[in-house]
Amino acid sequence: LTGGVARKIALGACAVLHLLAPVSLRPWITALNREVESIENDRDALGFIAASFGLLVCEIIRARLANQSVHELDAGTAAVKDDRPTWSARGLAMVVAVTSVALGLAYMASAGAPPRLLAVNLGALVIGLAVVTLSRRSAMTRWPWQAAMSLAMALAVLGTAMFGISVEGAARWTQIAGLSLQPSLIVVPLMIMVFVRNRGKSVTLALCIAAIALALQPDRAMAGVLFAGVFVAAMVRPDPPAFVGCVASGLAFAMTLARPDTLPASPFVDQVYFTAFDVHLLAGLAVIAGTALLIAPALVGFLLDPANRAHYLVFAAIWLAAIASAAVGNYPTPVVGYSGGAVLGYVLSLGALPTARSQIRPDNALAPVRSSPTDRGSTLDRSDQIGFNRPVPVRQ
Amino acid sequence: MSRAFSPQARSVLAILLSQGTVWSHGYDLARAAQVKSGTLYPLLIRLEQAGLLEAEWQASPQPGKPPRHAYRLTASGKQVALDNPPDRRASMVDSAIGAAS
Repeated sequence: LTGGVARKIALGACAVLHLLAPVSLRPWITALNREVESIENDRDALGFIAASFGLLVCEIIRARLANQSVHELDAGTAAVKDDRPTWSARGLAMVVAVTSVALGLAYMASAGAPPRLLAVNLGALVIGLAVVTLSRRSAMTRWPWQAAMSLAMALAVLGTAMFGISVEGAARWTQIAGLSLQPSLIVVPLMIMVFVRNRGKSVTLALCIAAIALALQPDRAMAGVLFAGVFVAAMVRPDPPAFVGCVASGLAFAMTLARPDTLPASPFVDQVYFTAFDVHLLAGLAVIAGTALLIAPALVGFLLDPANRAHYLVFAAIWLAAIASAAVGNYPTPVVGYSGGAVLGYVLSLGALPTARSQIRPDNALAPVRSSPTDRGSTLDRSDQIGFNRPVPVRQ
Repeated sequence: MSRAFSPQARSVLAILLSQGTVWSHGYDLARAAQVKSGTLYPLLIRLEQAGLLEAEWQASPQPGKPPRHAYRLTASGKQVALDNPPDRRASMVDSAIGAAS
């Protein structure tokens, strides 16, 4: 690494930590950032942040899990502390995404991947986290926007099938800013997660368009992901839109299975589960650990947040299907392999997970949840400001 | 408050104690105490939360440089540091390694 790159990676790592940290920890991350800036030698600066990154991520998880939720009883009046412990599926998933990408970068670096590939994965992570964080505070998470965005995403996948870059008969890619991106990998997981809570006609139509596009491309892996996600959503809450989505995605998957897929494996992208252990035992373990972590938010959410189990089941189905397709064929390895698209897709899909317990409805656990003031992370943001201020005994 | 300080925590406390009322910065503390930054910052967070450490932003003496976070022990922190000196065996091992190298 040249000095400038080392400095940029160090400052980028600080930015990621700052993005993940609850408000109570952010001054400390800023303090760390200032120390990094003050260190004259670029590589020493990178070493300083590298030595602290993993443990600070653990500290952020601990702070997030220890936070206490705050319910504002009346707008403009006093906020009251709720003693029940809470947690954030999104927060945990963000930490998981960072850790998985870090493990993937470790594997790729040990396998001799060019620094550009590492930088693309890191950039995709930062962009994804920024988009999720900003969207939580915007009106774009509301229903009309969800429908419009789903349609736009479906048309992007269809556009790729019709006008995208074709390799060995598969048209899955498009060229943006010098990068070859696979749009379906980025948008399909998010589209499915939107469908869990919004089964309007537009969102269902978007799923059908995406299914047709994946059959045309053809993309067996993403068609399988679409079918797995919609199928689980339909099992959890069977209704006409779920039936339509299931039939469309099932037919698309069947069509991709019927068509030959002769695309060879790309280094650092495909077949990573088979080649990582050839690089080094630790590289293989990093890939396995990073992959297992991808499902962790769904598992933890399923156990701790019974009211939103539909989201966690579908999230697990999406990423288990993606992992399975990477394990059995020449398809991108999610997050831990080189695929900025998969990193972005994972982070965007985790942005559709529930916030804390803002959507818990014990009387109708699996019903769709329309947008509400707490549906954009505001509960969590307030808890960031108030929680974690009590003295904590020193335990070393 | 029951505590079982790690050797690293004792080292950091000893460095801060030796500085008295002088403020220290994170990078300098990590180097002086020979601890990783990943060990240092969680420790500083807990010390500050327990009221053993003062932390404040200080303007850089160099123009154009942003402020840095600086630390020093509170009165109770100094007492805790005195009650928990660096581990002698660890210090002896460190000294022996230093002498051998």
